[in-house]
Amino acid sequence: MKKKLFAILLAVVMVASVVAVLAACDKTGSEVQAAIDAAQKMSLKELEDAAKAEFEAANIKFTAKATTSGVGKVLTKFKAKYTWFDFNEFSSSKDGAAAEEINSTLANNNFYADFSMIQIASNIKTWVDAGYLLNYVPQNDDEIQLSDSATKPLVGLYADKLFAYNKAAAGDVVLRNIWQLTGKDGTSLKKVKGSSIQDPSNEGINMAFLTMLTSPAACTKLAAAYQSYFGSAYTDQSGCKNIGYYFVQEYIKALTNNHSSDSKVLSETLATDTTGTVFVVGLNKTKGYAGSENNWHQDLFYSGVDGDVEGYNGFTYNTYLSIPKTSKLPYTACLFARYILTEEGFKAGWKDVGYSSPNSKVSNNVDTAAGVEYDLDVTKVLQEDAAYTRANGEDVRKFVTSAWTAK
Amino acid sequence: MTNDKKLKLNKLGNNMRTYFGKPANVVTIVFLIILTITVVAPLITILIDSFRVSTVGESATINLPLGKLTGKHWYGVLFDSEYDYAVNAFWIPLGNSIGMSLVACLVAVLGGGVTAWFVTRSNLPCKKFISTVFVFPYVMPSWSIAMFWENFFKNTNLTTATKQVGMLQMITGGAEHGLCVPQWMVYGFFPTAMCLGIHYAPFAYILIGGILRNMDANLEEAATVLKAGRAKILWRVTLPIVAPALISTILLVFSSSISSYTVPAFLNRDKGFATISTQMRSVAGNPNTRGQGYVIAIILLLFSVAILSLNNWFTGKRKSFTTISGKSGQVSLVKLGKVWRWVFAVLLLIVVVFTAIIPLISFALESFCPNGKWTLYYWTTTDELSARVTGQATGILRNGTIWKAFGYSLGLSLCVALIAGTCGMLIGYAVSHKRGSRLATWVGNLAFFPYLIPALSFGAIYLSVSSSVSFLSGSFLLLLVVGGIKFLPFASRTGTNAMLQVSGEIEEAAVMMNADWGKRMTRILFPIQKSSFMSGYLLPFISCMREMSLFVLLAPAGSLLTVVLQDWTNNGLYGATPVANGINLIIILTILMFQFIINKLTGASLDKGIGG
Repeated sequence: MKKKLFAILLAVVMVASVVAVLAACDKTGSEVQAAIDAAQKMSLKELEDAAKAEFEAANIKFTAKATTSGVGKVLTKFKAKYTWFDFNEFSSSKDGAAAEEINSTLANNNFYADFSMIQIASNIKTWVDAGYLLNYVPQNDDEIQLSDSATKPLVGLYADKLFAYNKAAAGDVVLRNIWQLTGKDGTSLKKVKGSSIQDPSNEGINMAFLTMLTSPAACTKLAAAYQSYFGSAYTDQSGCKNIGYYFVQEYIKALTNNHSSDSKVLSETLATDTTGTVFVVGLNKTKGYAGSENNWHQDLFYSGVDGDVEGYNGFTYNTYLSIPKTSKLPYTACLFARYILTEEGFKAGWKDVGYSSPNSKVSNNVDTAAGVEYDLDVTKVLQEDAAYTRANGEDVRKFVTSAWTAK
Repeated sequence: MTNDKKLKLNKLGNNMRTYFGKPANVVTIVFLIILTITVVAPLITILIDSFRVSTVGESATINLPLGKLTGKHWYGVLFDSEYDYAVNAFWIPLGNSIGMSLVACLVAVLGGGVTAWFVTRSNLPCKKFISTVFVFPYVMPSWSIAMFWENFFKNTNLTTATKQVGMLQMITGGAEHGLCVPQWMVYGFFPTAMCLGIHYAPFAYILIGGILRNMDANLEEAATVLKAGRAKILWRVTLPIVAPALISTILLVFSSSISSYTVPAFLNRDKGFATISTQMRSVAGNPNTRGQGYVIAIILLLFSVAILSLNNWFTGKRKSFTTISGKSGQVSLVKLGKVWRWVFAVLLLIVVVFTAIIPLISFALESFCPNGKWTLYYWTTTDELSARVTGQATGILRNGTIWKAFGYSLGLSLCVALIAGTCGMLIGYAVSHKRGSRLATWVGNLAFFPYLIPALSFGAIYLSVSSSVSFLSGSFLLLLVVGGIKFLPFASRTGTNAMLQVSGEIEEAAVMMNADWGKRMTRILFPIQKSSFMSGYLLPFISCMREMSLFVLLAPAGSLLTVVLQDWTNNGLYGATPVANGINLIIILTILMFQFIINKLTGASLDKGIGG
């Protein structure tokens, strides 16, 4: 009898507890899409009026979430321009934390933010397809001129990861062809003294770079570069799906290092490097360079800045502007997204070289100290494609994970 | 209603009144409910999520609708042969982790066990100093030992681009002529295992030392009378006596090492030394492969359960040794000889200075004297030292983010200590009063169960819960619950042991005097075992203050001081290293200060908390 009572008591307590936890999930709905649809048809003046009316009626502060700290500066500038506007304290978050928050809030129709600016195209595509994040596309006008590819979903910012090395350490070695970064049969680099990339399993941008290298367009370029470097056409001997996979496999095999952060490479490693290692590193990180008089251009080779690398100079990744489906201020969010795309908004947040705007009306960023004006040549960098990385990202992730462990 | 039914209901009501009239029963039922909600329910959630499409990213990746049950996560981790994925992403990292953990065990048991023997069983000089300082590495965040290891051994002969003059090269002749260790000693398997071994050696020291301290010296003396040699006595008498503690230490260190994330993540700079924990972090942190993370978390959990079952089976078999437990009135120390006692003392001093003192000095030097110049710049500057770290990037003393995180960590650790310590004491009360009852055994086991769950897996379990309960996501409440439950085993073990030592007659006398339960607890039981209970508060505090693996999947950027420290370690620009070392120093000094104050006030100490 005692045993039975104990068993019943235990079962009741456990079932009740599990039910209590599972029942704590919450759900709400969203009608933001209608506001976005209306905003897309409005003139700037109409949008400003709608945003002001919405903001004053709501009597709340604007909440922006982003993975780039530049948004904080744009918010300040936006507030100065529109005196009726105010915003909640802003701090940037990491990709993983942002993804976690989006999944946990928007999946349950809870408030995440009024506006979001985040990277990793494959994730954005997933969330846009799932209706978590909604896409707003401003009309092209005197201030804004966007190409079609920058609107699906809306890109707010381009940034580049290029190949960089210390010129003095590299000596007479010059990187001219992307296949120099692969080992001969995976055992040695071709003239290049070392190669380093931040672990792609923890750095989503690098995984996106490797994923895009397997795309049909990249394969064409890689094949041409292969022929140019080796003097013969690529013929598959490795069993890889295409030349892109083959490049990725050989590139990983030949890595001599994996750095923990791009920032540290500029601030601590490249200035004093004696190995001549070629790093895949953000051009926008040059502001933290700690070498001679902080003049990175004097000491470092950056592909695309100091000369082109056949194949690709590097990778251009996108940071997207979206409006979460539970946004409380959708018109204001649309106006803010539009402002980021203007010359004034963009320069407020990202004036360093290495950042570019998808708006062709925005001028190039200039590093006056280093004497560098960087004009992004989209034909010479591999560009992130949300649809391709979404469709093929998992396959390449598995391939990279295996190659990384087996190298 | 028939009379019969009424009678039965009355009887049931009376039984309930009698049952709940005893405080131990109320405490048992309350904790049964709490622990079922906080331990069993999340386990069920993660088990379900390992068979379910739980994010839209997973849904798009494996082409199944959200919420659909699937075995693809398990198949992917264990058997996916495309690109040899399962072999390279799971089996090889698992093998690496097992090898790494075995070496860590060896280092911990040899280091901790030998030191424990010298301190408890020999006439070694400087015992007090060695004993006090030897536990420092356990107090430090484990990856700060890895930071020190890199600072000490890095050199200009490394093939990685991180090659720089390290402390060893500097003090043995500088950049030109200094000693350069090979790369495998700086990055990868060997240093990872060594750092974990150093971190857990105090654990071995405390467990083995506790047995040696209480061991009946008559056995060794009898062997001496029978003219057994010193080696023979050690091998045939001492070792079998400490065998249960030795086995427990090996298994517990193995269990903790295999799930360690921060050390392998930090010392994996050159090649792909993948461990099961870094692999789990990678897939669990990716919303497209979250389910695979849950699978690895469950496998790690099963590993720990198997290890602990093995431990219980082994120690259960050796019940004959339980007669040796503090009954000996005399402890005769082994005389090492005039020269040898100093030789061994110096050797041990070198070890403790290297593992406990030099790291502290190195953190201070890296912070106050970077590049060989004394400066307070990294503490006082208002310059932006980094553009990548979350929040403010000014010097430590002027950095609101760091001090906010310090307050957050301190607050969380104090709350966790309060919750875990108090709950541990109450569970101890209930278990000791209802010893032998199934309910008490169940509650006791549930309270200890979180110890078996690897920290990273525990984080993953609550990540799974918070994905469904959005208000919990990244909140202080979530971290409080996770910390309170994860560190409860320390407190409940201490509480149970302490309560078992108190004779029931004492409380009975108080009952006779009509003292209510609250009074009995606060005026009698707590004061009697004050130092043991305070140890039950101290250990969760220390563990929480320096914890990273447990919170790595849960804590928002800039929230906890350990998260801020990792942010500065990984993402800082020029000047990040001095700041990171300064933060590390703040964490360690805070813990040591609290430990010192509590020790002086109450007599509580680490060795009373670990292992009971």
